[in-house]
Amino acid sequence: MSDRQQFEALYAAHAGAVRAYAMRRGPVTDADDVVAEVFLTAWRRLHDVPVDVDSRAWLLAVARRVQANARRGSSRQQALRARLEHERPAESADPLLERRVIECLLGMRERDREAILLIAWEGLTNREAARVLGVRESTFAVRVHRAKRRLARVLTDAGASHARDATNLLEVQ
Amino acid sequence: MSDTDVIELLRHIDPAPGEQAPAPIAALLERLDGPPRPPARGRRRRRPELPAPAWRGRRLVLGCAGAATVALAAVVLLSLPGGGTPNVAAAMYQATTPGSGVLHMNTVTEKIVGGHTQTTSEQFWSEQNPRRVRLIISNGEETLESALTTQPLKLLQWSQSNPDVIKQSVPTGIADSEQTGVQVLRQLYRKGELTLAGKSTFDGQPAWLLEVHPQYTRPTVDGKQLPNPTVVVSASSFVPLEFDEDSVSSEHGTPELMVIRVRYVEYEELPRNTQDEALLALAEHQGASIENEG
Repeated sequence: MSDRQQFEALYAAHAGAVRAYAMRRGPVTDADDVVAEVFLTAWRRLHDVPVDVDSRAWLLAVARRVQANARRGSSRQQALRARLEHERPAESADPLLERRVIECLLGMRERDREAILLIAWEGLTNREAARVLGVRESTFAVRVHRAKRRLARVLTDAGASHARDATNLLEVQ
Repeated sequence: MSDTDVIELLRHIDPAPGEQAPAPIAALLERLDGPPRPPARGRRRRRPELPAPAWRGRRLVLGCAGAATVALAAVVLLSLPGGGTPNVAAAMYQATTPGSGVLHMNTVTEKIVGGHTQTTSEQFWSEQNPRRVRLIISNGEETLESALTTQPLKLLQWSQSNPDVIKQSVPTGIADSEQTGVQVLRQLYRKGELTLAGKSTFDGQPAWLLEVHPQYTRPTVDGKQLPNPTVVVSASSFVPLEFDEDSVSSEHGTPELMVIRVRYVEYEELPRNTQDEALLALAEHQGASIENEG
C-alpha cells in the first residue's frame, strides 16, 4: 500500500470521528478546519501514526492540540457551554436533570471533564483515552472516577430533591 | 446510580451524536506538501510535534544573562535528582523567586458556586528595592486600579465607577511583601506541603501536577471530604499555570461546594528599564483630580 493509499484509508476510517470530536468541543464552523489540520499533520507524520487501533487515539490527540492552540481554556468552556445549551439535537425527556448535568460538567476541572467525555462521547476505552490525553491509564482512571463520582452525586441529589424548583436544584451542586 | 447510568446520560446530551460525515478528501489531497517525513527513530513518538503554541503569552524574561544562566542551571539541577523525576515543587519555587526586574502577572480567577461562575481578572506588576506595586482588578462590572510606592510611601487608587477622582493616601500596616497566590504557593513549598502528583497536560502542553497537603483537615460537603487543592506547573518553565481548589461556601445559607480556579495567563519577569518601570505607575486618567485621604 502506498503512502497515499494509506493516508486515504486513514481518512476514510477516522475523519468522521475527528470531525465529531471537533464539533463537540468547538464551533461547528471550525470543525472542517480542525479535520484538515489534523490530517495534514497525519500526512507529514504518516510513518509515526500507529497502524493498529491506536490510530484514532493518535488523531484525536492531534485534534485536541489543534483546538488547544486555537483557543484558551475559558473560551473552550464557553464553546462547550454553547454546544450543550443551544445546539443539542435531541429533545430532552428531563430538561431539569440535564440542566444539572450540564452545569456539573461545566463546573468540573477540565481534565476530569475531558476524561469522562472521551469515554461517553468518543466511545474510547480507558487505554485509548489515556493516550489522547497523554497520561498513564492509572491517572486517567482517577480522573474518570472523580468525574463519575461528581456526576453521580448530581443524579442522586436530583432524585432526592425532585420537588424543589430549578433555582434551588442548581444551587446544591 | 451506576456508572452505566452516568455514561448513558452523558451520551444523551452529546451535541454531535455519532460520527460526522467529513468533507470529501479531494480538497485535502491538494494541500499535501511533499512526501511524509521519515519515521521518528530511537523512540516511539506518541504525539506529533505541532507548531509552537501561539495562544500562550507566558514567557520568562530574566533581567540579565547572568541571572538567566544561574536560574537555568538551578532549574536543571533541581529537575534531575538522580536523573529521574524532576523535583517539580523545588523547580517551581526557583522559577518564581523574584529577580531584579519587574514581575508581571496576569491571572483569571473563577469562583463557581451553585452553577454560577464569578470571574475576576487581575493584572499585577511589582518591583523590589524599593518596593513598588501596581494592581488592576476587574470583575466585569467594576475595575479598580491601585499603585503603591514605598519611597516615598504613597498609595494611589482609581475606580471605573468614580473615574474623575484619584484617591491618594499614606497607607499604614504595609506588609514586607505582597501576598499573591504565587507567594502562597512558595510558602506551601517551604512548609513541605507541596508534593508531585504526576504528569499532566495543560491546554495540550506538557505539565506537572502538584498536590497541596494542608495541615488542617479538608472540609466536607454532603458528608464527603473535599479533595486536596492542586497546582498545574509548566513542564518547560516550571511557572504555575493553574490552581484548583474545591472549598465550601455558605453565602447562600447552606454550605455548598465552591470551586476556585486561578489561571496564570502570564507570569513573566520584565527587564528593569524605563519602559517597563512605567508599568508600575498609575495609568493616566484624563480629567481626574487627586484627592488626599487621611
